[in-house]
Amino acid sequence: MKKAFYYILFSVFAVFLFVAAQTPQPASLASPDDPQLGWPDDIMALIEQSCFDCHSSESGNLKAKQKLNFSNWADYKLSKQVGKLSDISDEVGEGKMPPEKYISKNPEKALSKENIERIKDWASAESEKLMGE
Amino acid sequence: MKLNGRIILYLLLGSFVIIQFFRVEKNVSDEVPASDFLVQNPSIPDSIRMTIKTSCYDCHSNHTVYPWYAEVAPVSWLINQHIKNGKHELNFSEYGNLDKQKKIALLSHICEVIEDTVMPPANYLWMHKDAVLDESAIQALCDWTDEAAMHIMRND
Repeated sequence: MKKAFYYILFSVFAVFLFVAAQTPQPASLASPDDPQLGWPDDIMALIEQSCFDCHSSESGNLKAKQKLNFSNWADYKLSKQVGKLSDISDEVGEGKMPPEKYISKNPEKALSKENIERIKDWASAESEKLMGE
Repeated sequence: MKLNGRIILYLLLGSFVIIQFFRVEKNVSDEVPASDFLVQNPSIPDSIRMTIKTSCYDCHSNHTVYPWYAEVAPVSWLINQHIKNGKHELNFSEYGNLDKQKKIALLSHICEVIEDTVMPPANYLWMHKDAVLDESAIQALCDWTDEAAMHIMRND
């Protein structure tokens, strides 16, 4: 009787382990290359292409990461997210980002006029969303 | 040789006297506009108000409290340039003219630059010991800016 109880306990534990192993861990899903931010795919693609080299965890550019790190976006306070969206819109809109020096070495990373507008429109819409409007 | 040294000394003294005639316009508006940050935030706690006034307003508002050495060129020119740059980045006197998003961005930036100890700048603190922010002052200021930003998001 006691033995049977142990068998049952053991099998329940084994099943539990098996299920636990199958369940995906949310934390490991988001790789630094692809933070799950729920932003539109086209915007995400532009940001990945033109910003991630310096502004993601993969980057070795400490100063750039300090200012803005998309990989840590989800950890930013709401006010900081709104602030950063405003910065993104300004910097990209004024042509300060991506920087000229970087573009001269990586011409394929440049943003076209339409894409700059798309980013600005998105940043202001996203910020309105965050501000709860 | 001795004569040459003397001539150089006279020239230096002479040019020092001459540059004193190149005065800079002072940043000392007595009017506190309705758009002023502290006017716009009437419920700001006194300690935070003092911190911002003491540690930020000299370079980030239309009213600088000048030290005596600011009268002496070329220091006066350097200080003038610092104030110009500071006001270009952020002018608390004009805060009220910003839109909602920019206000939130500004509040968030304040916390960021003081947390990273980029502000107040070391060369300013060197002569303004009362403007140094200790850890608790930084924490208090950041807590307040976040709260103020959330308030704007919800209410304005």
